Amino acid sequence: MKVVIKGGVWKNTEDEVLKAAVMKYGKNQWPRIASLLAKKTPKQCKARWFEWLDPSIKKTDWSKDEDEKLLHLAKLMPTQWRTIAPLVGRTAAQCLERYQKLLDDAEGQVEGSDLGLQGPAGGEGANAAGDARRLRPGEVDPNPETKSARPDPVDMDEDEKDMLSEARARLANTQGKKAKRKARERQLEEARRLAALQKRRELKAAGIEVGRKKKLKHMDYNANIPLEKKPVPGFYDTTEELKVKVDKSAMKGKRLQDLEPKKPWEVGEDDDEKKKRKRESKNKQDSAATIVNRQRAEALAAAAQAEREDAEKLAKRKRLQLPTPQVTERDLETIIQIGRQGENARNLAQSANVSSGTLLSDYTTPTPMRDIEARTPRVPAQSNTILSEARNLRAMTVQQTPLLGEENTPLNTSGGTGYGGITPLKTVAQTPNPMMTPARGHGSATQTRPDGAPMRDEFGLNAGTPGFSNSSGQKSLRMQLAKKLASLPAPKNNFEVVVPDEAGNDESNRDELGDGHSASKPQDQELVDKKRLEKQRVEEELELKRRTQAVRRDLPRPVSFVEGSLTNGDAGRGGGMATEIQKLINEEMELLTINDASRFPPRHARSVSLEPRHRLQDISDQAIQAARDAIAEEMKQTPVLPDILKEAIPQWHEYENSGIWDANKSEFVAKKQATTDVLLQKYRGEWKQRRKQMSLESERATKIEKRLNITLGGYQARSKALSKSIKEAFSEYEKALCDYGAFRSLQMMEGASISSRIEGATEEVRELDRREAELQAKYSELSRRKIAAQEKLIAVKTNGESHASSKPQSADQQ
Amino acid sequence: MVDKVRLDALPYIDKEYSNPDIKEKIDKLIESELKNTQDKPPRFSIPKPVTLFEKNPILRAEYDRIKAKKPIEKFDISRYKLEPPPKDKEDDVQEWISAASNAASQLEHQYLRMVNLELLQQFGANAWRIHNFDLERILERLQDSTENLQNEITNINKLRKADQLEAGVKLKELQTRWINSINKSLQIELACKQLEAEVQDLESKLENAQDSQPTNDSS
Repeated sequence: MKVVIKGGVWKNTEDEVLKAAVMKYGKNQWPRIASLLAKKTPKQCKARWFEWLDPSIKKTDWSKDEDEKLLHLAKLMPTQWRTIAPLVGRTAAQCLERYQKLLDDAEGQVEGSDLGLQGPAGGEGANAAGDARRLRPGEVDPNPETKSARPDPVDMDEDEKDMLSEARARLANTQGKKAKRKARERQLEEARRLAALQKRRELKAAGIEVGRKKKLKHMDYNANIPLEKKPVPGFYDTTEELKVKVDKSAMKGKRLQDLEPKKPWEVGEDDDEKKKRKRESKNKQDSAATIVNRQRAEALAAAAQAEREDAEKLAKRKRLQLPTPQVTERDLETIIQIGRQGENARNLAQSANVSSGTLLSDYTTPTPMRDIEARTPRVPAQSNTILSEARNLRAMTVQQTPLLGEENTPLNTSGGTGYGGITPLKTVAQTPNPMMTPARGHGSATQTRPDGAPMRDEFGLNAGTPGFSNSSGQKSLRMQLAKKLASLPAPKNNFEVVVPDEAGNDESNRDELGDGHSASKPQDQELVDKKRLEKQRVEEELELKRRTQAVRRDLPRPVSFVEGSLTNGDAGRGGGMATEIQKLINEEMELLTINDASRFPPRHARSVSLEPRHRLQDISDQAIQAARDAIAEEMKQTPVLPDILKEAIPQWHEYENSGIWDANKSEFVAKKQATTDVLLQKYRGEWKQRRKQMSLESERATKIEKRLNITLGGYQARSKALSKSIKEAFSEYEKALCDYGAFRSLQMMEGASISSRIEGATEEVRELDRREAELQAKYSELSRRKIAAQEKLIAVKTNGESHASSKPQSADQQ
Repeated sequence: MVDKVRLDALPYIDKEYSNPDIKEKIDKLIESELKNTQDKPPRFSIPKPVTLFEKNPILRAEYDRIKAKKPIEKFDISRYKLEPPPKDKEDDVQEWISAASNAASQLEHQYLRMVNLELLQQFGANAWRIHNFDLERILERLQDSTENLQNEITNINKLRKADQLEAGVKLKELQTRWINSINKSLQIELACKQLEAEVQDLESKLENAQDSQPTNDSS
């Protein structure tokens, strides 16, 4: 006997049969359904339905929320997948699978990368972990019910074909008694409904409104709908449309068949018949050759389909999950309204009264922008809760039994979903508000310890511990507060007091009243402070005056002082009154010097600790003044300062050069007593030192000179070129000047010579004219004489009749 | 003296100089004249000689040296050396004192040098720039005034030419008139001479006739 082991991968045909069977037999008769499928048990069928085929099963990608929920619930209810599944909204198998995948991802995730850019499903590690659970060839899928169906082969097995035909026959069988009755009932019901509908519509078309009969017995659920959610009104006003009457005539002349869409079964029957007919005709036409072609075309189409599906899978993206806005539309509107109200109030106040206008400061000016970043700051990085949860869960699953006494698994508690409730704890990403005042935002009222925990000590429990002193915290708090208060604008105390005009006789009364008022009124704090400051200042000045001259003028003074160096030196000399006085003075001076050195050390010097016996008692101002006066008095009698200096400087030099350092004895020796060796050593040393210095200096100087030559060489060259061209230009200028003078004189001279020449020429011409005139006169005289002579001669000739001579005509006269 | 010299030359009218023969002659004349007046230009009176640097013997000596064209004395750089005393005086304290003081003074000089260099470093570039700027301005002004003078000169020359040409026309007219007058007077003179002769002839004839009147003069 053949033993059939049922189970294995579900095929498409089996799925289809199962679906049809469920439609026919419902979800309670699994043995009957399983009898249609040769290779599946009722249990498997049920599982297949509830794990895969049920249309209510979500087969989409897991969203982040779902992941979070799943991990959280898995944490709360470990391994209770049947409980978790409906809460998550997936099947138990899906939940388990997803859970395992997440944990694998967490294992494979690179430690420390908390950016979460890869997502739970992406990344190399995830693939590597997924590989571990992948089915290898030869292995049997333990739960094939949750996998998608295997596609049908083109040529099905014989037994499969048998199963299919049998299932088809059984499912399509309506010949049974029950099936027949059921079909009839359904038909009758439908017909009744349609008849009623038809009747109502016809009546409506005829203009007779027939309202639905009010059912007296039953409740009208439409009248008052509890918890009704009305649709959100759109952008456009639709109240007009509601008033418009429906055109009744559109209903006229229409049959029910025209108005009603076809019933699904009718459509199915029609299509089936059509398809059958088509197929038959096609089969007739198909020849053996065309079958091959069709198969190829089908294969191509399948390939194209697969490709399209792949592309779709690639293009599919997760939905962008954005947090809900913190300020809703309504909030914004209220903010605007409040602002408007404030503006109105301000306007009213300003227009109504000038004095009250100052009460309202202008808040419309923007807050100072120095603290506000130019752009919205980044949302603080959120820890990947899913990843951390998955890690925690993994850590817990790999944990050994506590009986072994190992340490607890370290869990990441900071960024998880918590144990607070069934819903995972969520941190809503808050948009950072750059305009928020620092007092409310960052300025935390409680200090934080280095480990981040807030430092609270309201009951003074930790008063003793140094790091936890409440006073220091309060001090810093106070300082913070003071800083904030300091940034407040200075108060403007400009207000007017309007004294109402009243009759004169009230004046005295009022004055009294006012006086009494002022006396009882405490003084203004500002004035008090001012006075105090003034007093302090005066005190400081006085203090400054009390100091010694050396300190006041910041003269060079000893940093340390060997006690008794002044008093001992002079005390030995002689005796008597003068030395006693000198000694007293020296003592006093020493005391002063020590005090100065300790109290007011020179700059960059440390103060010397003052022994109590040296402490100078405070000298009264009067005493100081008296001493100064006395000194001034004495100064008047002593020679003026330059005279002193005249004496002092040579003395100083003499003193300075009086001693010589003897290196052998290592002490100062008087110059006169020094040996030549010592002297030679000294001067040689001096000379050597100076030469060394000199060489250093000259080297530096030459270096600087070289550099200067480079930097200033350009200028020098330019200057040389300029002076050369200036020389040339000057010689040119001189030449031009010379030429100018020469030509000027030439011009003058030429003017003179021109006039003289012309004069001379005219003179000559005139002379000639004169001469000509003379000659003319002479000529005319001559001609006259000639004529006279001729006449006389003619007369003589006539007398003598022998006269025939040519008479000269007057020459061309001009 | 200047007034007495009178140069009657109108180069735009008198074209004689362009004639090569005459030019040669003139050049020769000028040359000979220049030979006579080479050392002492006759028109300028030489000012009295000035004795320079009367009160400053150092400058005077330098002036004399340059006059005599002697080379400048070599710079004494012994002071700039930091030599120890010579070998034979190595134990002389006084020598060492002087050497040390010399070193000190030189150090002071060195200090001054450094100061100057530092000043130069700080202000040198600017000072040079200003200096160069001044020089540029001077050059500019010189060039400007030269140009102005040139313009003036050309203006004067233009005026001269215009004047001379105008005068030339007048002179030419006068010359022609003069020539005409001379011609005329010469002709008249000739005519007069002729007439005079005739008159004399006539008068002599008349005399003869009158003489012969009583005796029936015949000629």
